[in-house]
Amino acid sequence: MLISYDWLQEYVDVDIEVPELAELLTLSGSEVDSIGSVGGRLDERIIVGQIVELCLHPDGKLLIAKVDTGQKPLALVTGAPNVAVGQKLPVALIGSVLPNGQVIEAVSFQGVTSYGMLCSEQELELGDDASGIMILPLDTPVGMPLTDALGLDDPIIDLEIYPNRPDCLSVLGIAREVAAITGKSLRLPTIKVMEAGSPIEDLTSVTVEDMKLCPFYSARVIRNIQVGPSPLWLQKRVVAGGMRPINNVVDITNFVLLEMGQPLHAFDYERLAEKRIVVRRAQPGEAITTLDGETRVLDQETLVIADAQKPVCIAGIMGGVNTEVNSETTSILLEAAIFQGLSIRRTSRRLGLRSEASARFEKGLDPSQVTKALDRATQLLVEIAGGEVSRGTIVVTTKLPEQRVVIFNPDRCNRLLGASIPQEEMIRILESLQFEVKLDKANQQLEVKVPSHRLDIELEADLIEEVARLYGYDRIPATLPKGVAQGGENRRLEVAAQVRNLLVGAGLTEIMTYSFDSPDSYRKLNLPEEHELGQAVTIQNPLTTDWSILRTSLVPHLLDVLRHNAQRQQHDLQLFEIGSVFVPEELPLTKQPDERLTLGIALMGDYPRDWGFPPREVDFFELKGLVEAVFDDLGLSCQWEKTNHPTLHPGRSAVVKVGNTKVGILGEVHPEVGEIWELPARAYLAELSLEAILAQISHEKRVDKLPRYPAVARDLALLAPDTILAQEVLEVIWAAGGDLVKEITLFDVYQGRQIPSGHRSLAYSILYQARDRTLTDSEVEAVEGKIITELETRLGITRR
Amino acid sequence: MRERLRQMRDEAWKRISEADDTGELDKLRVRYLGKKGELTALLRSMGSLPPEERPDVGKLVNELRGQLDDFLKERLHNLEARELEKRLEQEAIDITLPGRRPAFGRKHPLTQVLEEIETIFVGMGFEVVEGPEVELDYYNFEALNLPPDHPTRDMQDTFFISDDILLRSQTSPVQIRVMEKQEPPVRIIAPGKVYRVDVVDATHSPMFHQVEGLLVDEHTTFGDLKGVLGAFIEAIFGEGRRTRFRPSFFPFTEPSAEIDVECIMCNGKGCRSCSNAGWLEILGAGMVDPRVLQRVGYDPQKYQGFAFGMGVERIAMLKYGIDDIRLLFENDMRFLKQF
Ligand SMILES: [Zn+2]
Repeated sequence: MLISYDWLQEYVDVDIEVPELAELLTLSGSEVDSIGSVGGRLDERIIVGQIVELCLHPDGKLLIAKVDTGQKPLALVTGAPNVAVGQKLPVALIGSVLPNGQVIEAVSFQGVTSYGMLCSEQELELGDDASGIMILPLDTPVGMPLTDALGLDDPIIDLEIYPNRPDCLSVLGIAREVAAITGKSLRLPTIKVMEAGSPIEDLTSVTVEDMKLCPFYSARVIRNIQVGPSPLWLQKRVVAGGMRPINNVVDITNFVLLEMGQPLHAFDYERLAEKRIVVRRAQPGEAITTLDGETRVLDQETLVIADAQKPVCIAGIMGGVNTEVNSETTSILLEAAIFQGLSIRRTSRRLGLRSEASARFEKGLDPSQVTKALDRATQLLVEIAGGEVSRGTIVVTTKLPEQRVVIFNPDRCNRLLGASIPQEEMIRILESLQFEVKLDKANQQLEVKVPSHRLDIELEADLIEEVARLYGYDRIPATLPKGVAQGGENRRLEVAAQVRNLLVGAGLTEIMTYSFDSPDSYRKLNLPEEHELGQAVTIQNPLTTDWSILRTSLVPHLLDVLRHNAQRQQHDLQLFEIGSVFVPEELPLTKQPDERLTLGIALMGDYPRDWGFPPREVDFFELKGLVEAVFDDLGLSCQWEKTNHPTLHPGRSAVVKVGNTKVGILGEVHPEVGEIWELPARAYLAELSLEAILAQISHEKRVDKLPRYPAVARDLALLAPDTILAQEVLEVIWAAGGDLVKEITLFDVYQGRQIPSGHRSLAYSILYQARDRTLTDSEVEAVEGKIITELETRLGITRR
Repeated sequence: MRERLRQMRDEAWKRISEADDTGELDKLRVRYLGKKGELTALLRSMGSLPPEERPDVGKLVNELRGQLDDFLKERLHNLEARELEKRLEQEAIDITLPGRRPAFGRKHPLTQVLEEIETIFVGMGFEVVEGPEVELDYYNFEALNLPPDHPTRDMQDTFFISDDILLRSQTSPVQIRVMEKQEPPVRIIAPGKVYRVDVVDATHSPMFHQVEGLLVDEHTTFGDLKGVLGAFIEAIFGEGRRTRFRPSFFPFTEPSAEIDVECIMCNGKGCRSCSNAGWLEILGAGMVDPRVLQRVGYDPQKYQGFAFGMGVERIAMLKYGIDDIRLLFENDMRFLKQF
């Protein structure tokens, strides 16, 4: 809401500077966004001039204007098509500087010297119009600097009005606030209408067919008006409110809209069929061409103002060209009404049409102001456009709501605020905001009558806010809550934090990506059409189709981030994300999807190089080791099974299980997928369901006693057919070794020279230890012998 | 004989003095003092001396043995010290070569800020809870005094999944879910992702993070709200920063407040970051609207309390001087490695 400081002064005497006023408004709940002006200060030598004579330049195209500037007339040459004798316009005198920095000099146009320049709106940076010279109101004083004449530097305060305060969407509404904040009195405009001629009932009638959508409709008829440009003061106000002057009738309705917050509409009375008004829903297929030139097809949800035959206005939103006020108009029907906010809101959304008027209808209007606004506009029409007002006003309305009374308990107010505001102070504040307060001494409470413009006040809490905001939030002492409370982290987040700490400690960097994804991403993972990951929740109104579903996997964005970085010369990447994936139970969705907290890891390229070590590439086992470390850290042991997943390398992928529950998958990215995602090197992915892992975590932790007898470590080098899995070897050693084997460490895997083809060498270090004695060499050898025999008979493995 | 002793002594002295490594010194020890050494030989040849001279000469020989032994030890000690010094000198390294660091990554800046916020509130007795990101219209709007088609819904343009399922546009629905399940006192914060239909630019993202807070019991006041949030701001932005509480509007709090903190970039003088206001809007808050309490079955005559909400991205951007929100979700390693 734009509020002109100058305009505001008409209703309340503000004796403080603008920044101070802005501060007071902000601290009382009308947030000041910025302080500006219509145009700022222009050069003093840009002044108001009037054309006294106009003649054609010898070249036959340009015009030579003789312009009165308050001193001796100047000859000015212009090519603008819109100038005429008698007009007032901005003149940039020689030596003046335009906002763009151009210095005006005497210029000769084929022998004729122009002693200055006539300016367009655009040249003065007052608007976009460059089609001709800016034409000023006829009562603009000649010779005056344009800045002063038009009030271009009048401070304009831009306020953000919260949706609960539609009563502040007007200069008077803000004046009311300012009066309450500063303790000054409010000066309302005097409204007086002189009626004459025939009663309105003889001239028109109003039928409201849907009182729910239009609970209040009022109209007046004004005849014999003269449509023309508005006087300077009116144009200034309209411009200060952020609107463009059109003609006196439209400017007056806009002025009253800005002044009182009540939208008005003027119809060309003569063009109304049967000269009457019907407020009704549109018939299906009915169309109207609105003032913006668009033809709009309407439906039954749309409320229209119609005459006897056709819609003439989309109620509360925009008028039709068929009854638009123009220079030929002599009589108008002026409307002031209230339309149901919800209906206006829906219609304006459907049509994509919002206006100053619709915004106000949506939020609600004060019923006591409607006919006042109608009369205010009527009064101005008579003053400015010289109309004659028919006797009476047509008012169609349901019973107006009674004035609300809210019980207010000053004690409770202080208890809620934690303040000790005296009761008299509370009463003073409420009365300054035009609440009527009655003290109920018996019950130690106040009966507060709510003024009709305060549609937002329903409960005591609403009044407490009024008291608090005018008392000043800064005057309420800051305290700390009473009572002791046990704070605490949430278990899910705690586990996520534990995993995050481990991975960061292991050199991985955390990323965070959008929950949105593209359906295409899942095709780009090589997944068949019917794959479960493709069954995703769809957003009805996505920003783009690339972001039209909710992710069912972290993998696509992990690959996105690998690619994004690789394209920026960063190929060595170790990263992870912890976030939710969204798994619908059924589609289309009938209930909320499952949100599963998920861990995704991606590795690509080399580990950071260091001068003491050879370069090391990431591989499957680096990734597997990270995942094992995660489980180990959570106190879980996991099992691995080979798997087949279209996104992963068929020979290099595995699922990981805890107990019998599958909790994740990992592997090398399938070369085809790597190519689709333009990855420059082999990449490795893991995706684990933290949700599933959480369910497995036990919080019990018990320590083992430390051994009392020494251990014996022995190496065992084996030659194994390469069809035998390491897991099988391990299982045989554990089984054959029995209780005496404490630890088995694989420290070398070798294939190549000296190893027969189809075989590999596996070297283990085995730790033997007994709880109750020191093992002898022969005991260890016996166990080792048993292990070797078992390996040989069960797996065909020999000792090297 | 005495002459020979003297000669031997001078010669040994000279040799020992000139020996310049411990090996040579060892050889000299064997040569003079060893079982087959010169001094032993001399002692043996004493048989040829007259018996009355023997004790004197024997004494001289033993004296000489003692002197040589001491001298050898001294020289050995010196040479060893010198050799150690030499070795240490040779072992010197270029300490300006870079150290080999253990690999360590970084937490995402938003995680770091979220952790910091959580720690501060947990310290003030708040419990951390979560709620679903895909929410029901009821929890996201209706239960928070935002009936369907209410103009206030325009403040938050929302992604819809179906007529009554949506992506939550705020973390406030968690308030309702907690109060439905739990009797007062309630003292929680709820961090998480929220979603709004905002085209991506330097200051907008369709997904961002909020932290919601709620404290309801029988006595918590607006003054307590000021105290708790003041303490939070001090903890996260440092002491001595001015804050300002001003009236605002949220459908589910009454009275409502917005909390500004003195601009971190310009210390309140006015700059681009604060649109020359000198203040930055950090938090929205207020006393829980009695209608909200009533809807979850709390008696609004008996219970009262406050709620607040803050944008995590905004705090992170201010804290770290990040000027473009897109950096937070692009995951460029050159950016992430800075945290
Ligand atoms: Zn600043």
